[in-house]
Amino acid sequence: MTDTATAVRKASDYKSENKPTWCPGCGDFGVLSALFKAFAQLDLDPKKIVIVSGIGCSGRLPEFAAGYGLHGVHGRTLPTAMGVKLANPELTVVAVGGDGDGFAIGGGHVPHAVRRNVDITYIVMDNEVYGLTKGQPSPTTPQGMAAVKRSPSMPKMAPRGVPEMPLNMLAMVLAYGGSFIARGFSSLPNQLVDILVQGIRHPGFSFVQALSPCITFYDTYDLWKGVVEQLPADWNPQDRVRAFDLALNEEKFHLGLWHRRDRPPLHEVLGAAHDVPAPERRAALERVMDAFA
Amino acid sequence: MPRDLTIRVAGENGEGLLSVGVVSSQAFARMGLNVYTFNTPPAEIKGGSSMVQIRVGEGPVRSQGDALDILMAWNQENYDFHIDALRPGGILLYDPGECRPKESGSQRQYPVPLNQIIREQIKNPRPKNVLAFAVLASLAGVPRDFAETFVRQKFGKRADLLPLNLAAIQHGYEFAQAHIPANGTHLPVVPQEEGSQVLLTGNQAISLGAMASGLQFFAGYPITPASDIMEFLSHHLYKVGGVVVQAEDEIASLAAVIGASFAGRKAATATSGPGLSLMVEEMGLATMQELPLVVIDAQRGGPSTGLPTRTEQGDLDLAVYGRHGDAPRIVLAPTDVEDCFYTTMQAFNLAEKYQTPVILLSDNHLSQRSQAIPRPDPARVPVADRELTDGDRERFHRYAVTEGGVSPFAIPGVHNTPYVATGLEHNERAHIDYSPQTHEVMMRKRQNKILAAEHESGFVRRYGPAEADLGLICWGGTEGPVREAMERAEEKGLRVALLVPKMLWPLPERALTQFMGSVKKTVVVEANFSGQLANLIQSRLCRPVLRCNRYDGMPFTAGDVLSYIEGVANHD
Repeated sequence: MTDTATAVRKASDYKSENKPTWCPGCGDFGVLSALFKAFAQLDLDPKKIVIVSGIGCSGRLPEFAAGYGLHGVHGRTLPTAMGVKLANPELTVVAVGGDGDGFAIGGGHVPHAVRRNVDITYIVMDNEVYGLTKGQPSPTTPQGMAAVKRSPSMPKMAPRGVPEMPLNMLAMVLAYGGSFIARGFSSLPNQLVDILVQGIRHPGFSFVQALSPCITFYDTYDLWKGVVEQLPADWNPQDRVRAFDLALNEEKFHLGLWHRRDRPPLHEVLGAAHDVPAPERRAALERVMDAFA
Repeated sequence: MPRDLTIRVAGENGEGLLSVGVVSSQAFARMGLNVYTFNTPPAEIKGGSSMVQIRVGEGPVRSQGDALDILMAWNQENYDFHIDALRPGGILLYDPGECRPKESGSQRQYPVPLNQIIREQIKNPRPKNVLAFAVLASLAGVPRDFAETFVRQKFGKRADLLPLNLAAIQHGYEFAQAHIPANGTHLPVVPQEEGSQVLLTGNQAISLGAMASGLQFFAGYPITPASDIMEFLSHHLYKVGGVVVQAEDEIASLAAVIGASFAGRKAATATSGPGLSLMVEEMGLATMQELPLVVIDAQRGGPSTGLPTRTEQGDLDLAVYGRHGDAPRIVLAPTDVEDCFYTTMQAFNLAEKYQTPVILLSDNHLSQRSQAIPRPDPARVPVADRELTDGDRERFHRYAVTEGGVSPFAIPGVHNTPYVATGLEHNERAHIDYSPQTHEVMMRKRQNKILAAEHESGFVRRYGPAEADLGLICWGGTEGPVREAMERAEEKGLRVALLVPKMLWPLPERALTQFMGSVKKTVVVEANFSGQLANLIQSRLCRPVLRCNRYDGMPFTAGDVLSYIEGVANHD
C-alpha cells in the first residue's frame, strides 16, 4: 500500500459542493466546521455518515456536508435518526437542529430518544431564537426579553417581553437519564471538536448543546463570551447529582462534558435490522404459520 | 344438513366470552370447515355486554351471516338485546339461572345451566368458555373425541387447566346430548391435509404478508384496532432479520419508518384513523423524498375517537386526499382475510417499485375477525425490490427524470453516492432548487409515476355476468357480504354484476368505465355516510352512481345488500 492509502481524511473532505446559506457571522459555521474536524479525526467514511435534520437554519446543515443526509419535517429528527440507526447500526448517525426544532415542536421526542439511548449524536444549535422565520422567541429565549426583533424600532413578537420562562435543556436531558451530555460554544471550536469526537464515539445517545448565536435576530456573541465558563477542574462527569445541582443553579454557561454514564444502546438491547438469507426467512415464516394451522 | 350455521354467544365481557369464539372457530377450522367470526367487544376491558358470532359451513362463508341459527345468552340483558336476531325456527340456549326468556312459538328454547354446572360439577369458574364451546360443538356435530383431542392440544402444556377443560368437554357434551335435540344442526367433518388451512385474523394475515414481503423495520403506536399488528410483529419480525419499535406517537412512528426506508430497509407502520391524521405531514415528506413505505390503516368509526371497536370505511378521503400540496400516493384495500396476506405483499411491492408511500386500508371488522383460509403461499406474489444505483458517482442522480418517473436509489453505507433527501423542492441531483422549471418537472415526475400504477394488473375483480341490469361496486372488507348478496340475487333471477377495485388510488378508471358501460345502473356499496368511493368515481368519471351506505359502526350483512338490490330492481 502507498502512503496515500493510509492517509487519514481531512476536514475539507467532508465539505459538499453546496455553500452554506447562513448569514455571514452565524454561529452555525463554527458548528459545521467543528463537525467536519471531528469526522476527520475519526476518519469516518462519508458514505457511512447520515446527518438527519428538521427545519430551521441549522436544519440546512446536511446539505453542506459530503455524507448522506435526511432533511425532514420540523421537529422529528430524533425518531427519524432512530429509524436510520436501527436499519443499519454500522452507520454514524448525527441529528442536528435548533432549539425550536428540538424543544418546541420536537420536544416530545427528546425524552424518548434519551431513555431508549439511541446511538446517535444530537447537536442542538441553540441560538435562543427562531432565525429562519425571522425573530420570534424560542423555548430558550430569556423571559422578559423584548430584543427579539428585527431592529429596536420594530418588535416582531413579544411586544411586552417574552412571557414564558426558558426551558433548561441540560437539566431536562439529565433528568431524562441521558448517557452523554455536553455543552460547547461555536466560538470555542477546539473544545467543540473534542466534544463531538467523544459524542460520536460514545455508544448511546450523545446530547450536545452547541451555543450558536444568531447574528441577525438575536446577537448574543458579546453576551455569551462574557458568561461562558469551563466546568470546574475537579468535575467528575459520573456525578449526576452534582451535574443536576449545577444545571439548576448555574448563572453562567458551563462548557465541557457534563455527564456520562455507561448504558447499552438501543440497537444492542432491542436488536437491529440485519440481512437474513431468503430461504431462512421463508422457513421462519412457515414456522410462524404452522402455529395457526 | 345445513349449508352453514350462524352462532352467536352473548354475555358479560370479561367472563371468557371472547375465548369461546377463539376456541370454537379453531376447532371448526380443524374440522376442515370454513369459519368467519364477528366480535363486538366494548372499548372497556372488563364489564359491558359483548358478543361473539361464528358462521361456519362447508361451502364458502363470505360474511358474518344474517339471522342467527343458534343464540346462546349468558344473562337476561344479553338475551333481551340479541333475541330479535334469532331466526324463526332457530335455537335459543339460555342459562336458566340468569335469564328468563319469553315464550316463543317459532323458536326452540333450551335451558343450559352453565353457571350451575361450573359451580356444582366442575367447581371452578375458569372453563366456562370451554363448557359453552362443548355445548355448541355437540350441537354442530363436532365429534366428542375430536373436541377432546383439540383441547388436549390447546391446553396440554397447562397441567393445571387441562383436567378442568376436559371436564368441561365431558359435562358440555353429556348435557347437550341428553337435553338438546340436534335436529338439522350437524355439520360434516371435511377431511383436509394437515396444515393446509389456517385460521387467521385480518391483522395476522397482514402481518404475515408483511413478513413475506421482506419487512425489516416496523414502528407503531398502540391504537385499536391496529395494535395487534405491532404486537404480532414484535414476537416474530426478528426471525426474518427485522426490528419493531413502539414509538412515542404516530408521528414518531412514521418518522422512524422514513429513516429506516432511507437507510434501505422495507419499513411499515400500522394505525387507525386518528393516527393516520397525525401521519399526514410525514407522508408528504415520503412522497417528496420518494421513499418506499407502507402505512396500514385499520379503519374504525369516526370522526375523532369515535367508535374504537366498531367498523367503518371512513378514511378513504384521508388516504387519497389527506395531504398538503399535490402529494400523490397509492391506496390499496384488501377484501377478506386471505386477501389481506396477498394485498399486503402487493402493497410492499408497489411501494418499492414506485418508491412511494402506499396506504393499505383495512377496517375493524376485517382486521379483527378470524377466517379459516387456505394456507397463504408467499410464492404467489414475487417480491419486488427498489431499483438501486450502480454506484457510479458521476452518473448518479437520485431524482433522475426517467421514462417511468422512478429513479435509482442509493443506500447509505452501501453505495458511494451520498445525497441528501430533502422535503424542499429539489432537482435531479437532489439539490434544493426552487426554480419554476424544476418544480414543474419534479411535480410531473411524482404525479406520473403514481398514475402509471393504474396499469398494474390484478387490482380489479369482477364477478357475475358480462352484462347486467345492476352493477355493484364495493371496496375493502365490504366485498364478502356484497358478493353473497349478489349470489343470492342471482338465485332469485336478478341480473347483477360486481366490481371490486382493490386499488383505490390511482383509481382504476378504465376498468370502472368499462364496468359501468356493461350495466344499466351502478350502485356503490360502502360502510360510510358520505359515499367516499362514490364521490371519487363521480368526480373522476363524471357519471352518476346510486349509493348504498351503512354507517352505524356495524359491518354490512348480505341481507342488507340484498334488500337494497331488490328495492332497486322492484323500482324499475
